[in-house]
Amino acid sequence: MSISARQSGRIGYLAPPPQSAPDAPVAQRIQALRREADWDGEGAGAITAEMCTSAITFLEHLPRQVAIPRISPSALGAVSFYWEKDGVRLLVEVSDTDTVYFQQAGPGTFRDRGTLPQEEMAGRLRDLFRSGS
Amino acid sequence: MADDRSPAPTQVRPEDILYGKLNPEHWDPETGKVRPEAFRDKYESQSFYAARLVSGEDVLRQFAEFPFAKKLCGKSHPTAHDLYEKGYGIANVRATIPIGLELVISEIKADGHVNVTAARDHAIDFAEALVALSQDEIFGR
Repeated sequence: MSISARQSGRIGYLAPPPQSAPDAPVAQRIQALRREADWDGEGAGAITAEMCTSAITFLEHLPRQVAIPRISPSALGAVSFYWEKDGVRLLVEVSDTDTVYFQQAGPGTFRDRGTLPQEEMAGRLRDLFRSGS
Repeated sequence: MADDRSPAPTQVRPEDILYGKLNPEHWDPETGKVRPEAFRDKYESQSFYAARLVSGEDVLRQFAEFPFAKKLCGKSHPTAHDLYEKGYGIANVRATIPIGLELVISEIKADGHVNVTAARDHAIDFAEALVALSQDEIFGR
């Protein structure tokens, strides 16, 4: 299912950064994150077209119940996604086609971070959004 | 006689407030909420400033001298207010947060600068512990 088709029925949708058009299709918003190195004037890594495509593909392969995340550029040279649901906060950065870097806080005092294959992260997101509450 | 157990004047104390610059996409001026993405920095050490030595305006003024700020503001000597108008802000966090996370914190330099190492590994906890200063709080009005 395409990202645009999944935008309806959002669960815990988080607003995009102010500089993004609020109604822009998600894939367009991600493609618009392409940046050359040092885009913040403080040494940020480049965000390439390939990274944006990987990020779009990652989102498109998520289970349909997973909400559209907040989307933003990462100074580490990646596309950043952020979800909040039921006390769980999950930050995911995509910069290649195979893995993601993530940080998770919650539920409660649970903390986790590291690199996972994209399929494993999709499973984690599926579990997080399984209840649909 | 000085108490030997007291931290040296240049060391961060638990009661210290630290300021950090916020980029436009990393905070919400309406709510003051700061996003975890603000701490996902390219560098392992991130810059903070001890509030007992510098104001929020001082911090923005320092960054206003950076080449990116001059380019962004289209002038050779942008002010702290110019940078604020471009969406930059100031976050404040109690030093107990990095201390509690057992992060490496440098001594405070004369200009108030403090390096906090590995804040990017705790971006969510950092963001939730921070609040952005209001415009009045930054500029003292």
